[in-house]
Amino acid sequence: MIRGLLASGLLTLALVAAAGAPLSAYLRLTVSVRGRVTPITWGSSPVRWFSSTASAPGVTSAQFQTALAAAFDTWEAVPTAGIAFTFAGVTPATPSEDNDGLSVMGFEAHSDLDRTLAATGFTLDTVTGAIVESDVFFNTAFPWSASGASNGFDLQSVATHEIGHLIGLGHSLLGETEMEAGGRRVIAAASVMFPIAFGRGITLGRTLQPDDVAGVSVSYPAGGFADATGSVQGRVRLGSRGLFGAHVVAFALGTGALVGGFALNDEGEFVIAGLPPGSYVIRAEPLDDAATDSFFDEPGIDTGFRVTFLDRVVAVPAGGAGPSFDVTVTPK
Amino acid sequence: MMRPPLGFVLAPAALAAALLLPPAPASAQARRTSFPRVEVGGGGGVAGAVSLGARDANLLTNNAAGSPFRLFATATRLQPAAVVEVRLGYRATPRLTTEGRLTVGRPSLRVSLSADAENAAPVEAASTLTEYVIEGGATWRLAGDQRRWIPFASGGAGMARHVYDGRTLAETAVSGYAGAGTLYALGSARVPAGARRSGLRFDVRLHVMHGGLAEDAGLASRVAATASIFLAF
Repeated sequence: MIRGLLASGLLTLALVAAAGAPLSAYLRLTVSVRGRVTPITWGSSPVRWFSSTASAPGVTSAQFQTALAAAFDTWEAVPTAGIAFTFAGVTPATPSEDNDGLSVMGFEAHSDLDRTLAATGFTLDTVTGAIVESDVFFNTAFPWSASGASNGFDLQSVATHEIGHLIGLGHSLLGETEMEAGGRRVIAAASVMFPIAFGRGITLGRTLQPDDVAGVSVSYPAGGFADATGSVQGRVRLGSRGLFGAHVVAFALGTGALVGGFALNDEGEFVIAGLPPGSYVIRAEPLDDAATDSFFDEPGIDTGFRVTFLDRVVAVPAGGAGPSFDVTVTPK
Repeated sequence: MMRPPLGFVLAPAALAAALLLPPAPASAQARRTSFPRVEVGGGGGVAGAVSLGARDANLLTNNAAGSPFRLFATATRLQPAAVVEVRLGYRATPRLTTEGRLTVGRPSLRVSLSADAENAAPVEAASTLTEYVIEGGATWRLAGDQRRWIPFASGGAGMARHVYDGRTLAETAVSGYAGAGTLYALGSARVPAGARRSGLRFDVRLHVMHGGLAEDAGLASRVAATASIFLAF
């Protein structure tokens, strides 16, 4: 049985500025529908989004709309995914107004959230698991830039991350962090959906990485995607015990692409789908670069094991999966 | 680490023997008005190791330059393997033979995983593949049939297909080769009924691959050495 992933009825995911949560490779948000874990997705496309009238120091309302439109276009342009967005106009509504039927993007002041750059909230249809509304606020407690200037966080990069949540993606753990005063600092990442933002003036988050592309493509597959890609599947084991929450990374030897996933049950079972066919190596690691509650809404994440490579090369076929395998790890 | 391929040893020895040995006695020469046109052969040998390139698993660094952060490093290669081959040729002229060859082997694909940013123990990941190399080419005899040892040069192109066990995935590369070798004609008493000529053939070839498993290596090269029996009709 798959355990729940940070989703139930109404939820909020935040991108943190410096301290906070670590990530794993792509993760789909889920909700329990009639006892069955279901990934949350939009039921219809295009998704209509509104811009609030608010601005922030250094970013006009027009610049905000331009940056947000570019971020939506980034996700829409993924050739293997079939989701589209439409700018529906400017609204006096705010992102914090839930259940108003509008998906609103805008600046808001949340000085109490001193580590949260932006956050995405959802209203879900708990009968079907469909997203019916999603709002994103960008916290004016932080400096922003629409141009990538070094004095502010890049609005388009952060918007690209939040829109990933808006379409149902959770955080990714494809990144490395280090502890510093007040929390964690990201050293490097290979996914827009990593939960800790790059520093001011860095615009690398505007470009989707293979992990992000796999995530959106699995959630909203374009025609032929399932037949053209494959998956790896297996278990992460410590002795005879499965490791719930272990992060597993597939590395494509031919392209250098990194795509990750999690062991999602007590048997340590994982599946990483949406992989281009080819030869892969597998690496399992504990979720120890940030707070586990950035990924899972349940306790019991086992992080007491060493980073381990699988001792075989894994073939990913088109339209299917190779044989299942075990990654056997050792205690720290 | 790459072992010296067997071919490097065999090739000079075979060629030297071909050049130094005297021609076959005149009595053994077959005075024919035409030469046998069709040649078939089969045998075995060794395909040497091939480096398929090195690649780092990189993350984007949290700085404006965007320099990569290495999560871990990989180096991929195919190990040496025994191969069997079958060959069909058509001798267009006394010197020129066009031919096709199928070579099958079971090399081990090995990936060295090292330099992990979180200190994972280095590992050599491996899987055994079935390799099919199908190539077409030509040989040019450097001496006439009156000799018992006939050196030749060869070259051609084709494809190398690597199939994982379970046939879950096949990767295909373009391949090409250049080589040399020698034929050793058996005496007429050893020629099977129906054949006009038979003998042994020793090949040493330098193969190059592009694409497929070698996608990251540009042109990957290796040496193969084979010995085979041929019949000419």
